[in-house]
Amino acid sequence: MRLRTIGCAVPMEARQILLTMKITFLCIFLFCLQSRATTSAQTITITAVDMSLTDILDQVQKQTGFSVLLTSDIEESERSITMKTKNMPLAQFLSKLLKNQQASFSIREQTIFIKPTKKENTPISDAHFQQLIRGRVVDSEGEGMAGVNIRIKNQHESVISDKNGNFQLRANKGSVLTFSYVGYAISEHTVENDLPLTIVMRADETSLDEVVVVGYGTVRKSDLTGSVSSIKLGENNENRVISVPEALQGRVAGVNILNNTGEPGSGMTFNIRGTTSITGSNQPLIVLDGQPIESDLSATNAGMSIDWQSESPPLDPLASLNPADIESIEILKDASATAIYGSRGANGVVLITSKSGKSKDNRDQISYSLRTDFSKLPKKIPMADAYTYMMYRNEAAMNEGRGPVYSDQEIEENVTIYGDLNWQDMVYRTAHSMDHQLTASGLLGKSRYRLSGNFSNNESVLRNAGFKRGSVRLNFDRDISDKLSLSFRSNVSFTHRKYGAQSNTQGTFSSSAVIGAIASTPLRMPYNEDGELEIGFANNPVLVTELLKDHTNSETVISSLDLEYKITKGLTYKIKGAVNQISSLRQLYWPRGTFQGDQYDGSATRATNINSNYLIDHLLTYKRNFDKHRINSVAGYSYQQWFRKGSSVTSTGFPTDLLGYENMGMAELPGITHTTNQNRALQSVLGRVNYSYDGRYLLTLTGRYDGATRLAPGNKWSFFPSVGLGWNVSNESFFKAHFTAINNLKIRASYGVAGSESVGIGATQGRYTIDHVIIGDRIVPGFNYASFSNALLGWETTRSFNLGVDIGILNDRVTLSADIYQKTTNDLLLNLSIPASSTFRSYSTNTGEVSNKGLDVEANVAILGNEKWNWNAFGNISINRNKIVDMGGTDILYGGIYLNGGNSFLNQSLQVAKVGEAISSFWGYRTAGIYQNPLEIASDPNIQNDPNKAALRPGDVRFVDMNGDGQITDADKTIIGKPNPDFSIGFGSSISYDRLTLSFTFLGNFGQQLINLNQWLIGSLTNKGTYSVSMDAYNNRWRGEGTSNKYPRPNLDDLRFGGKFPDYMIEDASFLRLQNVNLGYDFTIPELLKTAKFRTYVSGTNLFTITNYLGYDPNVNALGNQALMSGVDYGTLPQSRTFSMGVILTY
Amino acid sequence: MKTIRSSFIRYVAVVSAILVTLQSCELDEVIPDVITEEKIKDEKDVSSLINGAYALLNNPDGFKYNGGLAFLFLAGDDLYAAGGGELETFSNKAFGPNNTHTFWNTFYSTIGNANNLIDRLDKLELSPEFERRAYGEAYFLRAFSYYFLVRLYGGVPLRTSVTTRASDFYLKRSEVDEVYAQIFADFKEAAERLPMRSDLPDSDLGRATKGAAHGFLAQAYLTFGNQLDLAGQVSDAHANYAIAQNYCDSVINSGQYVLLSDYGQLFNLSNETGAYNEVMFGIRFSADPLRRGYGAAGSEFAYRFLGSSSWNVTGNKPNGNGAAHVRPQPWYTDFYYSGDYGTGTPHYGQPDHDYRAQISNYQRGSNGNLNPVTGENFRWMYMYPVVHPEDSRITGAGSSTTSVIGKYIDPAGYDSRNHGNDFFVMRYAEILLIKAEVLNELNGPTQESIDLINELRIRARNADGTPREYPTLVTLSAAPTQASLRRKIFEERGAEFLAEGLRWFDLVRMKSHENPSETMYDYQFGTFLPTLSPNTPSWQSSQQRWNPNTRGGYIPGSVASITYHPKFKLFPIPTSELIINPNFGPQNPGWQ
Repeated sequence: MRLRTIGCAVPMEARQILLTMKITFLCIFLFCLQSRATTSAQTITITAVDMSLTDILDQVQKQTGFSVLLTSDIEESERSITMKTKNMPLAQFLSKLLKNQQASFSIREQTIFIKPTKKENTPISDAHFQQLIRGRVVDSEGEGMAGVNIRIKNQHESVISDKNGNFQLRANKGSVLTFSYVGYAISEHTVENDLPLTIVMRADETSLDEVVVVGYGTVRKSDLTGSVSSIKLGENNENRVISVPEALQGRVAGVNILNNTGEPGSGMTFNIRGTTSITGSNQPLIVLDGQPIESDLSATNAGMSIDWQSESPPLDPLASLNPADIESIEILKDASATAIYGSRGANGVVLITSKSGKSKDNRDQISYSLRTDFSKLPKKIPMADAYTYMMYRNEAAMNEGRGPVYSDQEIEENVTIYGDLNWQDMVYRTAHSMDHQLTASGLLGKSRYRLSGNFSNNESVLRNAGFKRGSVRLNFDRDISDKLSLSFRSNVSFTHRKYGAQSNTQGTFSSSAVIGAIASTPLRMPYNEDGELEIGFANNPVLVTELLKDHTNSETVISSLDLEYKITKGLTYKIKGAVNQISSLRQLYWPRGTFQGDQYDGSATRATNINSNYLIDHLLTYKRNFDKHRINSVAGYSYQQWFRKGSSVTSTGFPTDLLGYENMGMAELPGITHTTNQNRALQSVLGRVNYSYDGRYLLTLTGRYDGATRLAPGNKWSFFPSVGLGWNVSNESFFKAHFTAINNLKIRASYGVAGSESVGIGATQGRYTIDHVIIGDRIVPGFNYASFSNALLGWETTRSFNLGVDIGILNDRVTLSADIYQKTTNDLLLNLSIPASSTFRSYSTNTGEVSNKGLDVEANVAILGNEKWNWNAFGNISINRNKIVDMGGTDILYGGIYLNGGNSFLNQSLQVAKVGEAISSFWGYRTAGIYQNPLEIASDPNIQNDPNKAALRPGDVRFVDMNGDGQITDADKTIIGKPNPDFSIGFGSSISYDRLTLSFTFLGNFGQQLINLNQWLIGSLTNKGTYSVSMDAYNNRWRGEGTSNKYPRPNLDDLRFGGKFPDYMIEDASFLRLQNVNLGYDFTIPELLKTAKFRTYVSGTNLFTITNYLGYDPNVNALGNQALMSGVDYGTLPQSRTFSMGVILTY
Repeated sequence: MKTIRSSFIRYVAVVSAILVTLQSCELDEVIPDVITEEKIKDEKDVSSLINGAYALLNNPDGFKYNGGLAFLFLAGDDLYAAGGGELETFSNKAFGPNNTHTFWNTFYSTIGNANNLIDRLDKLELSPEFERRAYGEAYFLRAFSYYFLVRLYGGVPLRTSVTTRASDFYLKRSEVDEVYAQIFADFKEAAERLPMRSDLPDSDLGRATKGAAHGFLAQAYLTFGNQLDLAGQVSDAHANYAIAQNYCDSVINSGQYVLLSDYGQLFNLSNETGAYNEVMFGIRFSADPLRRGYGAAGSEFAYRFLGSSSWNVTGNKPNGNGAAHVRPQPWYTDFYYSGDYGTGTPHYGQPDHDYRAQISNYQRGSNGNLNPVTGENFRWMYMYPVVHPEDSRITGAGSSTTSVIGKYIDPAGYDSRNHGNDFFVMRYAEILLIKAEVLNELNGPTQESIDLINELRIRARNADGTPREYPTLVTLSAAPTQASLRRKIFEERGAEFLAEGLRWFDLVRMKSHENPSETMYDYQFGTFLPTLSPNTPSWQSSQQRWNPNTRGGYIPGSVASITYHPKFKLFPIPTSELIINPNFGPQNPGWQ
């Protein structure tokens, strides 16, 4: 600690308390200086032993009555001073004192000036000397603010304003004072002759390091009782991030985010603290600038739900937002935080705050950035080449007692023709993407604006596929008067998706070039002799990528206007009106050469979808401090209404493939037009009180009362309360006295209820579906009784308990947050299976219980921070245990059915919801290796009574008889895996030295498994049809006793494994991935553009993955939009490996 | 300033109050795109409910694919599947409780629709005439569904009122006789209310008639009587036979139905309306221009039955060929070309065999429609077991080693799974055979029985107008005993109804002529089929004949041997029912 002033500046340290008292006295003394005409005897008597210079000067001041001023740059000697004088004249004393201190003195008008010796030649100007600054800090109401931190810029000392907001300190003229206070914008003031100062502090809702955005308002971080994670995205657009959630991957504990497939802009699995709903949605509520926006994955899927053959994985609707527009994201995880969103809070809430207008030096700031990406497939799956494939087929035939399929001569010929063929080389490419950003922001009098435009063209590594986005955002804020202000947020974006068979949902090669590229025979060429695409080779993977057209255009508008009026001190009224619309047009054409195109002579689908909603909020906010009591409360009314209108038509019978879907009038068989029209509304009354006593004890009470159209009359309204408690232990005096290293310790606990909105529209009403019947010679519609009226249906409710601790060490150089939670979801909204003999297969009801328990830990460390170096690191770990406790008497529910046709026929569910297990646990047969010899078959107790025993041969898979009846039957199916990791981690670091910055993020999941359904085709060693075989399966196949205990012998079974899904196709998908690395350098462009900043960088995404998973990518979730089909990889495009470089120019 | 503030507050308060009031009204749910209960009001709406009650039967899980094709065609001894996914599972007897939910669900959903229709009719005030027929259709469809269920699965849960949230979803299975009692009652209620065939306009074809109800009553009483007979309750059985005979007479005497003079016209799609002079009830299909494939209202029999080498007979793109997923067994084909039915060596287009075999088995094998002399891509096929007469032999012809079914031909179909061919559930011809059978069961062989059988044979001998020698007429001396006449009737049913979905029912219903405590199923699978060789027929082009050593075999599909097990006389209760319904009761014998 270096003392710079003697006088009014009050050091904060406790050891200085005595000095402070003296100094206060001196200040008063100095003020009286002008009136004091007398000159005391200017002699000094002192006995100093190991005293500091300042202490001695203090004595001097005392004894002489002179004030002592030090120039700010004086260096205090390392050595302490020992001297003894008695009645020594002042000048002589000072000479003696400063002799070894590299300082000299002068005395003018009862003031002693002390300056460094080395600067002796420099004329001493007044600016070097410090003067007393006096002033008062007030808030916008004119109320004095206590505890405001006042600091002289670039210096370490600070003072704190007293309870009336008054402060004094010493500073040089021209130096800059900064005023900071939690929840308020930092204010600066240059010292002039304008004493005393009045500084008005303005509340700053986006000052995120100190205030946390929560639902319908902000709360000081220190007053927070809920579990909230905040991420600042800042200027980071340097890694290839297409959709906002991607930027959060690995960054937040308790949040599982993954791209369902590697398609740019693909749907995301976004789960907060595990899955709570078995048949409903588990996506969190997304709130952008206070506006709950459409984030349902189906929003962009025009026609999909109404036209069975147009299924494709959904896009992420959030991909319409430009990540570079996002300032920060808060993730509300526990009930204390989410209950304010009531019936929509159970899956967590994600609050996204867009960037507002900012100004530096009162001028407009313009920036342009360009990023360019090169992406490629991260790995290839080694597949059989032509020779190996023929050997494999021959062996399969011979194992069945048949002659070889290929003669030696055919093998030789085919190897010459097809020797090097690898479909993966033909459908994938090095993709080239671009991202342009242009931003302007600044002040216009009392208005702030930020205007940004973005165009990004993201190519997929799969040929002819990609995702483009163009968007414009205007954020405009204006203070109309002291009382009234408005805020306008508007985003318009256009996206274009070229889907191009990037992933599989239907089990046909024509919907996935990815599966085609591994499973297609290596004995076919994509082109015929004339160099044209081979139409006769159905689902030729190259043809599928070249000719299949599947384009979706979406337009998204998200716009809101807030008007805020300060009614009285602390009381504010706000009205928000907002609209949000996503309109999508999907056009799809299956040409001849694809399964659908061949079936119907070309098939074109045109589907539209309009999802729109509007919102009106009325909010009253009351924030006041009374002595030690601090109240922050909000009450409001909210109404939101949603509309969904869709249509879809599929026409077939095209005379030519030339025009694709562009001229549907040409179709011989114009299809039926399906339409949907769904409306719903939610009406809510909400409130929250956040009370803090003395900064130590915290209480948050939250409640929301939601009324929904979707619920039956009489049951439309439900209430969602929560309570949160907090104790800032570090604000207790006993703690301060004993734990100086820990500057923050807070313990939080919360309990509350939130709901999930997945009650289907119309689910409470008795409904009929339309089915067609032929009466006479007409095909006429009839009404089918599809569900009974169900007035009791309500939300599923999640009660969650959270216990958390926040720790800050060494002035927050190390911060740590840890939360344990238990979420119990009751009244589970289940499509409960009932016997078909009841008329229906299932009905929606509220029954059962799912439990999620877990631990989230986040830590940040500022390792190094000085003028040149800045080194930070973060890390997080999440553990979640998901368990179905009860399903209302039902033991098991099945997920969707896979591969219900063709040679790869499986036709069963591989995922189940089973009581006692995690949601979407994998379901199939346990295996115990391979039968090595006939004796093993004969003596195997697993099959001692099995009627098919005689058909078994060495080399077949040994299935385990789970129920002990000596037969392998359906009753032996059991849980063979789970999609959820045991724990997930994310960690990373950012290092900057001078102008060079380096950052990286790792993420990893451990203990998770994936259904590698590709193996059903390429790892079953069944050559029914012409599927290729993976080299892993071929090399490790059984070919005699003791050769393999994993893969069976090649065979020609009609039905793979007799339809039994073996557990070896469930694979460990643990992984650790270097998600991104970024290296940047900031330039200043000299001369011409002094204020311009220029940055250039290179970055990489998905650079390497450590995993044992045999497929492309262990971190996919092909059907992630359905909870009960989680954890499957089937023809799923992997995340690409991307290298990017870019420049950012800021003026 | 003060006034501004207070007026602003007042404004906000007023606006908020208005908004709150306005918006509160909007929590009523309106579903514009779905029919809900309260929207069903008048006869027009109820007509749609009636249509809906029929509408599941032509679905894939109904008679279109997974139900009808799999259960009714592939569980017998006459047909087998080569390919076609789920179909092979049935053919190979590799199915189990996981495979049998399709038909089950279809019938129970239809029962649900019928119960719902009755409930709506009870509650709405409609014209008595309309209500009468509507009730009749509801009872008919409920009886029809239970009748299929009880034959396929044995005793099943009886649900006879509309299912609501308050209903008991978990009913136990009823005894077989309880189910039959319900079936008889419902068909009788239906018969009282349904119109005669002659009162049914062509535009209503496909809807139930009084005659259809009587026909099913005859067949159901016979079937139930057979069951009692097999269980040793002979006098009860006879009582049922007698009732069956009455209902046969009701149909015959009603004059509503005739045998078409040309058997071939029954399956001529362009004459389908005319076929309903003989067809008493059919599941109607129609090539559906608006929907495709699986979801279309068209049938897929043509695609499943016809050969891949026969072009221009289906809507399959691009050549209009079939997939021959379902084929007749060689022994079965041979059987109906020999004995009473032919010379044993049938010739293409020649009257040396039963006309019905010629119609049932598609004989014109060719993969193209161009002139055989000039055309390219054209190849004649020899379709088992037919050969061409010596004067019209074609060199270089290929061969189809099994015959393919020729009853369902529709080159105007829109795609492979979208054809106009109906599934005939009951034809008048069957009423004649039912009557012949009950008379035989009651009285032993009589001329009356013989004459009834011969009515069908006479029609077959008339063929398409050119009389034939085959089939020979049945005489009392050829079937002197009750068992031998029963066997004749069994065989005749096989000739008349090939690939019409009756074979398995006949197998499990009829007593074996060898052992009266066994069924024909036991006899055929247990005794007869194992005597056959498992050979696939082969064509000897040098001698222009089918290799005699490979003829008449039984192709067991991909199963190594013929699977005989008495459990196959009932289908297993679907797993989906058993595991969810704790009250159901035991699984069918042998399927536990």
